[in-house]
Amino acid sequence: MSNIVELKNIRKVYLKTAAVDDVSFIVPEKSIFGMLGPNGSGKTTTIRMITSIIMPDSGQVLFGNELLKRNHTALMGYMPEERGLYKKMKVWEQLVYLAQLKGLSAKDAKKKVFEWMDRLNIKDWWNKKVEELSKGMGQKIQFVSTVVHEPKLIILDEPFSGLDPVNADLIKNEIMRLRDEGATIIFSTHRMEQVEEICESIVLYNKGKVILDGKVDEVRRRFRQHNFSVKYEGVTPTMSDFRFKVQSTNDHEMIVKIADDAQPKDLLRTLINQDCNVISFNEILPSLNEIFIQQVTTTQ
Amino acid sequence: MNKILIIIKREYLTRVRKRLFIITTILTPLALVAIVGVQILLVNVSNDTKKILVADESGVFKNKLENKEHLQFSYSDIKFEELKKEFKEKGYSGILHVPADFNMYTPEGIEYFSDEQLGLGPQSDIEDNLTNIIRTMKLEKIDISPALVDQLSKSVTLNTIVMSEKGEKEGNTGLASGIGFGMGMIIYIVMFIYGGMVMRGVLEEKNNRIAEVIISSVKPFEMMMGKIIGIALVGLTQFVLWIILIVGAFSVLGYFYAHQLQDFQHAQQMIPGAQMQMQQQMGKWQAYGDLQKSLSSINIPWLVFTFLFYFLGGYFIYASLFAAVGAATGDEPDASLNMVITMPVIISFFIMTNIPNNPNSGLAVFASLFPLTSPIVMVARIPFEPPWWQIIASMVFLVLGFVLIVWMAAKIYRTGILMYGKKNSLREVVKWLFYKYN
Repeated sequence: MSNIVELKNIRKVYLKTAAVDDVSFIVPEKSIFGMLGPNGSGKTTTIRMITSIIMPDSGQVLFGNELLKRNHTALMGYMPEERGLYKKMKVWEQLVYLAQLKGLSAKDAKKKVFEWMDRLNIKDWWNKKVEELSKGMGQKIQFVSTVVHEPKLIILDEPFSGLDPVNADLIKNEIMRLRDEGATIIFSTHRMEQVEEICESIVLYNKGKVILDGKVDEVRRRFRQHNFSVKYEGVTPTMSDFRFKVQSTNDHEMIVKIADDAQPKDLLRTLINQDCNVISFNEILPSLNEIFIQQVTTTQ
Repeated sequence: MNKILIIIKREYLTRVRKRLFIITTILTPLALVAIVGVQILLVNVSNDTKKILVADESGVFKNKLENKEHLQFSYSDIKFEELKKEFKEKGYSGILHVPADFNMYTPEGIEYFSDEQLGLGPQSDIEDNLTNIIRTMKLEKIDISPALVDQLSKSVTLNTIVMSEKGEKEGNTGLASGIGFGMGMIIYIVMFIYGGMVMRGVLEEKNNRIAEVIISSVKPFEMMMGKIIGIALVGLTQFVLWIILIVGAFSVLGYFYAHQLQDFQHAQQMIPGAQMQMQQQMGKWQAYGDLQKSLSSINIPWLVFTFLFYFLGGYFIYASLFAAVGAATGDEPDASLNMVITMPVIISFFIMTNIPNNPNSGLAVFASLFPLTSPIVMVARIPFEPPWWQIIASMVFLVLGFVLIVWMAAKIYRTGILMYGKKNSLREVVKWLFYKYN
């Protein structure tokens, strides 16, 4: 699998403070990639450098295997966190305008805009002014403007904020579909549960630096605490072995921490030897949220 | 299509289709025509002749008051107290009462009685009339004839001749200052109206946060220039429509009033005392002839060229400055940044108003070379035919200034448009000029 974006030691300084400091990472093609981090940690600055809005002071941005050029932006779609549309313009005119700026002809732009409005059930709104729409509606229109020119790289900054669950689900499915059709999605957020659900790999930012990156499962395993959840029926088993430490017991569920020199199968064997009726046995991996908070607070 | 053209098209169409634009474009010339029409109408209405009965108990003014087309005097020896009761029935508008003890050296006590206000025009007419009569009588008392007074008070008119390589040429200071002032004024207004429009457009994009979406598709410079050119076309459209509408509406007005004007002139000849009026008219015509003569002495294509040159140069310089200020301020407009731009415009305006008095003063020369003031000041000086080297230097500086200022404004614009929620001081904005981008 080739890479769509590669950042090599990029750095951007604003008035003596480094907004982004020596950041390098790779975004694989046709994947959903998460950029995480607290507010002001450098995510938006990085995105702006990928979209050619600003240039890095040093380092390189590669797009496809080429050095980033201005005309690459036609292959990108960017939805900023701060949403913006012309309030006084009609929905379809606005979408056609933004698509034309991405290089579509007026005719193509119009055709695709109406296809997308149909797909997201906002066709009835085509001739309304943006100021007449609800916030969620505006959000869907903004999403259309980001993807209407069929970009290879779609960058979404907090795409679900302000959406109700039904519409959030609709957009989530569209993101998945676009990925299946060959687009790459970079997804910037601080909402961890969404990342775990849809992202394949992530980078974690703090104070302008990447403090963690990799595939989601791999990252979670890297921070595993070796905690296992055991659910059983009948009598509560006893843990006399010092390698197994019971963290908590609660209504036929037990959380057990296994020492480094033991294996999960050792714990399972102990349970079976006691003739415990185990109905579920699984490892508790830390959530990205826990890792995020732990990492951000320890690096402070 | 080129992206900058797409932007120009949007900036142009969204503004031209606005209801307010359509209304102001159509109503402004109509309002102008209506004002003129109403004035003509009023002249016709106030043409009603006021008949005034003079009750002169002193006998000083008897048969001496001059009739005018709207003021006619009759004299009566009947007692003032009785006249008061019956003047209305006899069809007079009022009584001018001169008391028996009237003394022309202390001219007090003259009164006007009526059941309605006299109006400022007729009042001053009567006052002038009375004053003239008294003055003539006083002069006669000391043996000076009115003819002599006329000779003594003849005023001098100065014909100004401009010497140049092409020979001597009669100049017309009044006309030159009129044309210069008019052209400077138009540029002044354009800078504020359309420069302000550019600034509001930039603020809208910044506050809406759409700027970031657009800048991820086009260069900030294209975005800024697209807006500036689009709005320039809006202004041009408005001007052209105004000219067409004004010319059209005045032709219609002229058609409707043509016969009334004829009546008016006809009536004047019938009224005693109209001859004097006619003489005044003749004087005016002569002045008009002079005007035509000096108009032909002015090189109109050259004027149009210089006007357009400074008009465009000035507009682009100030529109890009306004765009930069809009980008730098955002949600909260910053007065100090605004001042930095509006000050030179206002200063040039004041310098311009002083040009007719001294078209070649040091200040005027400096201001017509400096690109922030030259669009207004030089245009006002052009009809006074400044030396060639000044015109050429001014134009070169304007082009250089244009390049430099647009470059600076584009840098400020590019940085400012993406800075949210922060108030930027002038010092910070100056720092942005040194940011590196590409």
